[in-house]
Amino acid sequence: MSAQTEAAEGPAGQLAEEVAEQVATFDATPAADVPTVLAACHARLLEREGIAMVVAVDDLRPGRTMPAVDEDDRRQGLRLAGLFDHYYRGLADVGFPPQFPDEPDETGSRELIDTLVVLADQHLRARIETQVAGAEA
Amino acid sequence: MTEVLTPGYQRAAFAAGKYLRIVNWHNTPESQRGTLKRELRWYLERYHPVLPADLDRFTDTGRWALPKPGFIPVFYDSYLNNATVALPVCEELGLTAWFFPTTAILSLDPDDQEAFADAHDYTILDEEKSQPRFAMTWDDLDRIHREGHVICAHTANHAAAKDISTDAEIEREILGPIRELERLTGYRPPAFAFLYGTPPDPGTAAGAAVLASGVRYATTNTAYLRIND
Repeated sequence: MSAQTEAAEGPAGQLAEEVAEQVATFDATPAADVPTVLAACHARLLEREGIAMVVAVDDLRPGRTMPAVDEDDRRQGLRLAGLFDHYYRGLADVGFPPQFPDEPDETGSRELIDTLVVLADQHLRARIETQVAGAEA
Repeated sequence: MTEVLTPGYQRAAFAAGKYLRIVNWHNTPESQRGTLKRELRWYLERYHPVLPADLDRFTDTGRWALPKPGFIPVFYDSYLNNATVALPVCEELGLTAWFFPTTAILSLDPDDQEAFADAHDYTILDEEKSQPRFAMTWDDLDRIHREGHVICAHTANHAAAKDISTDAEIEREILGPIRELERLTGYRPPAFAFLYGTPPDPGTAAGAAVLASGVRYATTNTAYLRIND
């Protein structure tokens, strides 16, 4: 067993594994530079890439409301709401900079969507670039 | 319905645990086949594909009853590469996806597809410009359906809600596509999405038509909204 392998199996290795497990989850550390993350998202080729999003679910049928979710989902939801606050504030602090100022907003919710795009980029989007190069396609 | 687009609404839904992970694709060109496969495998290792019945259960009971957190892989806009690349990748991984085809282009002559794309917010990738056609056909969509994937509605001509107001436009962009897809699959499309992902405003003719269509979910940029039983 090499020294490198021993280190990877010690406390530091365990911590690294835990951090790796948290990548692209709600438990990952929120990005500090939110505008830079947004710019990176908009620089991606979204017409040919998967666009990760975390969206709300609701019951709008007349006379219906969604029942409460179970405790685990509620706990994860509170974590998600905290992330939403963080990223919304991070973009609000710089005035929600438009990424495509020459294009009209057709959605009516650019600030909200930008917040969700950043959140999902950091806490959901697949991180396949961390896989071993040459892995099976 | 307009409150759906507010930060306060979104935050409250999240805090209540009422959220859903989705990943939207449009073009899935051959050059991205390996990336698509690795990404979908990555998601599958962590999340469980959500079917309409799962979402029904969640909105009815607040319980997912899935072995892992759920997610929906979604393919939009009837691109041929959804049938030639995404479909076989999903099959290889044993993954059920949701497809939102625009219906008019499914029967459009290949010679007319480029002009149609320019006029209706589609993107023909440079690497596919030499292809005879870039859109799938009804036969392709039927194959996707027969493989067990979920077929949803996304207008006929990639139309935005704001551009649908007359009875003729509602029939062409909302009711007609829903009916055609139901004829193909044997079931009412479980979800409907306008171009730009805006919610169905009941104060507009287009929004009211979606709400009355019998489709169970309005798919928007920020939410999946249960609108019918």
